[in-house]
Amino acid sequence: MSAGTAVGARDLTFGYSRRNPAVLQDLTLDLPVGAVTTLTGPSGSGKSTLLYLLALMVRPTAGTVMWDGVAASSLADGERARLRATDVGFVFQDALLDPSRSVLANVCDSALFAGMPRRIAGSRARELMSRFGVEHRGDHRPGEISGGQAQRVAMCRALLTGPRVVFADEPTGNLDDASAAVVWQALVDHAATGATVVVSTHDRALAARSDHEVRLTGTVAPEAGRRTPETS
Amino acid sequence: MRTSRWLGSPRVGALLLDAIAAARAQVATTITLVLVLAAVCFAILVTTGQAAATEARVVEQIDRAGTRLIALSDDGGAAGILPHAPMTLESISDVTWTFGLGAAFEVTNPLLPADRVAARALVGTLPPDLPIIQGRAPRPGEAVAGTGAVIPLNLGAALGAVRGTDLGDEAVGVVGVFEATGPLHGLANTVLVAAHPHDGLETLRFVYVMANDVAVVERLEDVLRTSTPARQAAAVTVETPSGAIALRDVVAGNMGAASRQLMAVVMGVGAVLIAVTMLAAAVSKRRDLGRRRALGATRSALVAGLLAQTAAGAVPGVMLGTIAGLVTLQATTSSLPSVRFVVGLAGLTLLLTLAAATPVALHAATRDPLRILRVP
Repeated sequence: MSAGTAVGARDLTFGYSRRNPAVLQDLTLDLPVGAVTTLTGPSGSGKSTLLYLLALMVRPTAGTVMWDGVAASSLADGERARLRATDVGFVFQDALLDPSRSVLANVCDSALFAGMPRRIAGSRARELMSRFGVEHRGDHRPGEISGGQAQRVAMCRALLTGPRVVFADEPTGNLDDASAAVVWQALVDHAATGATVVVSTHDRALAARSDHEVRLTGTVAPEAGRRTPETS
Repeated sequence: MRTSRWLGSPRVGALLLDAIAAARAQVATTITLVLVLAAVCFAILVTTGQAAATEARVVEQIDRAGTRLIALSDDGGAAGILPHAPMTLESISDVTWTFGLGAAFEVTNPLLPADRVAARALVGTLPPDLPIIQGRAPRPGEAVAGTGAVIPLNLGAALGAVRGTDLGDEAVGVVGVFEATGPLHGLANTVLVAAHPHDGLETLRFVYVMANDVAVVERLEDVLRTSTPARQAAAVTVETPSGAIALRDVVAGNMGAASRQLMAVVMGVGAVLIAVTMLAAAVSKRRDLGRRRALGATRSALVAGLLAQTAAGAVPGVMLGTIAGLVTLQATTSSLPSVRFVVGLAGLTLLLTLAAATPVALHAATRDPLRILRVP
């Protein structure tokens, strides 16, 4: 793992079942610190799966996810969970908010498992919601806000604990141009603080604005048996 | 490897508040849980609770007949129970109180010597079963009369004096009247003369010993056979209320067994309903639980949160059912089970709820978050 790299993968392989071909196979990459890296590729190429693997939500079938030079994917479940709680921010493709709780409670959700004091979490949540233009929606339920607003709420939740690694799965897919610009700028700003930011996207224009791009090119070539990400 | 300044595990207070918030947010689940638990507690209280109250009343009545009273006797005077025996036996930890009586002799009122009444020397203090209802307790050298001895001795409101064969020529003042209740009702027609410590009383004919609990009577009987100070300890007759104890055990056993079976059935049905309710709640929250796993909840934190959420719904349910059951019992039968029974029932129901919810929580916490979260 090179200097300036917090998270990476070595010969990473993952399949959802033994019967089906692996979604990712023998993937090796390093994600630079203090930069925004985009993952691009066609649907089904494994962008979301790669994010879940790098965020330690699931163990790889083979290979290793490295964090600070340590095989983090081999850590015990509890330690991986604690890493996710304290050091990872994740923006899900469909926002994934709890429909039974208020928007503010949803933003503060990530603070609970990080062990962040409620008072600090509440204050920080309002600050972030103001930045993303959803501060007036704090008492609403997720069902009462638009998809774009829900995605911005999910951004607030991901950034609440000040994580050093942020994964965002199609974070601007449901947003209008203005909102997308706000979200993108927030990710860039967060990277500027020294964090590692990884964004999966179909948006070529967005990828072009990132510091690095990892392109997942599709199915595994049978003769090669190895997918080498193209980095630009 | 972690660099965050946060703990990486939820704070207990925050977890509890989150559980309460979750219980409030999942209105349907919480209301179902409250109603199920209220129904379980109510059903148990109006059936088993009533049976327990009845059982307690019957047992209390049997106990009044003296299930804890042990009588040591020396009918022929051969055993020679020593006067300090009550003081010695009182130091045994299983003994509530004890007192001794000397041999019977006759007394009469020296001013109106028409009738004679049986009297005995009293060693020790009058027990609660012989309460003073007029006058005061006797000091050494003074006497008290049983309610049945007052009229034969022509004792007035200010009481009087007695003279007897064992009292020499001196009259002894009668300073009070006692009521003989329960197993000591046989002393109602007797005069008890409190003995001086050094008045020459050589032996006692009876020593009464009250055990702390029915359960220790048998053990205490064995101790008394060997520990009672007497010239011929083997000649001391020890009588225990074995018949009353057997009756008590039969009554408590029969009534208790029936009510326990009913309680087990009600609790079993309740446990199934609780488990189904929690399962439905966990299934409906699958994505939510997966999201929380993804956000960093450890399995143990997730289980603790789900159990705390269950408890948040269970406590009001138990309280509601208990209050409703007690009010119903009071209104219909005026007989309430003991506080111990009610508290025990509430605790048992809460434990049962958590036990029923635990497998569901464990199952939910061990699901693979990726399979739940993945957008096809």
